[in-house]
Amino acid sequence: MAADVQVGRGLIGRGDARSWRVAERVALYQTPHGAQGGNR
Amino acid sequence: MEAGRAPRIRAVGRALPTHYADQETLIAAFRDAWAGAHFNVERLEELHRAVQVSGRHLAVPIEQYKELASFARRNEVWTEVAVDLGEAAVRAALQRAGLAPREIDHLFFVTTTGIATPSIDARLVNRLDLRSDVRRTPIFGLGCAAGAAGIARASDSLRAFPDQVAVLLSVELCSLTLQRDDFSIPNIISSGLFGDGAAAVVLTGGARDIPEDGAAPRVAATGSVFYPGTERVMGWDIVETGFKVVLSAKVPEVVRDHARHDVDRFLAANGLGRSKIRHWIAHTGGPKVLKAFEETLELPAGALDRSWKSLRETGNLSSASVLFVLGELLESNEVNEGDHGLLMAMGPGFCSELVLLQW
Repeated sequence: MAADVQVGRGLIGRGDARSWRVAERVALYQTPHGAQGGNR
Repeated sequence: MEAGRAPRIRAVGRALPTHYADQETLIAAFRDAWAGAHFNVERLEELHRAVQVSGRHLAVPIEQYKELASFARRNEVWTEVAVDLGEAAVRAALQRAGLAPREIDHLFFVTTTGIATPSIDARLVNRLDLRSDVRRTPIFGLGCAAGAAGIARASDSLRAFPDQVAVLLSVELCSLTLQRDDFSIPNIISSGLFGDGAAAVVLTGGARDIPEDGAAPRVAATGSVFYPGTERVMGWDIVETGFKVVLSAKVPEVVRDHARHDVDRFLAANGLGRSKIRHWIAHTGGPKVLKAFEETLELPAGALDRSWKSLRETGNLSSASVLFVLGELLESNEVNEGDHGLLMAMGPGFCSELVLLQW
């Protein structure tokens, strides 16, 4: 895996960034301390 | 400076957008988008396959880019996603380093793919609940060189304040800079080469305690080299629709003309030669640039394997790329006490940034 974390957003409205939502927020912490994190 | 007092790199955190498209999917999308233009689509496919990238992570789902018609809209999205990815990268790096957000004394932020005021680092003070006395240094415009230059500037600060913690954050969302009406070769190459991602590096000053496993390399020396009269080698022309890429075919030639001399002079000033460098941490400029580094520096086979792998997996992430390569190295079990590494990147100016690491 190339990253410690993957984070995503998607548009749900047109023309207004404030209408965004966190459509998908995945925290896949792959650290020496083991898996942590989760959706927030 | 006495080696034991030099700043150390404690950890790297890497964050990518969840949205991913393989290169064939991206080629198909560009074919559709540019089908109506008087344009040689076969040339596009040829150039996009030549960059040896298997796919790229994207700030937003691929089908949503057509909705981002204006520079204002793309930059608005850039700001939102940059804060998300930046937060994730910093948290991952801090977690690896075993430090908390409120221990950060100085936050450096580098990018060349979007603009924001307050800058992304300011927004992250709120998002990460950093201390109100945190120092901030946002840096725009160093392009691909900013990952190396950012480590250098953060270590400069820690040499002055050796009891402090500095974090360097790079966020580059190259996909949001794409000019859909620019059919120039530089733009077609860029549209096939560059991807989105963020990386953070935690550094601590020489007076701070470090883990006993010796895994934290010292920033032993840094160097900058500027090449006069090369302003049109790489950069942006700022146009109505945003950032229009300037990318000369001469970049590999500049590497061949300068890298060997600059690296040798930098290493000699630190009592070293190329044969003493065990780890080469090169910015993933593209196949021609990596090949030029390998040849002009006469690197042993496999010396840039991590850079080639990073190029294949994510494309060129501009300033974040060299930090992704550094992160891979730090995670490997290939470093030993006493090893030297050279981290290097070139970028707009045109210029080189060199960072000597010692384990």
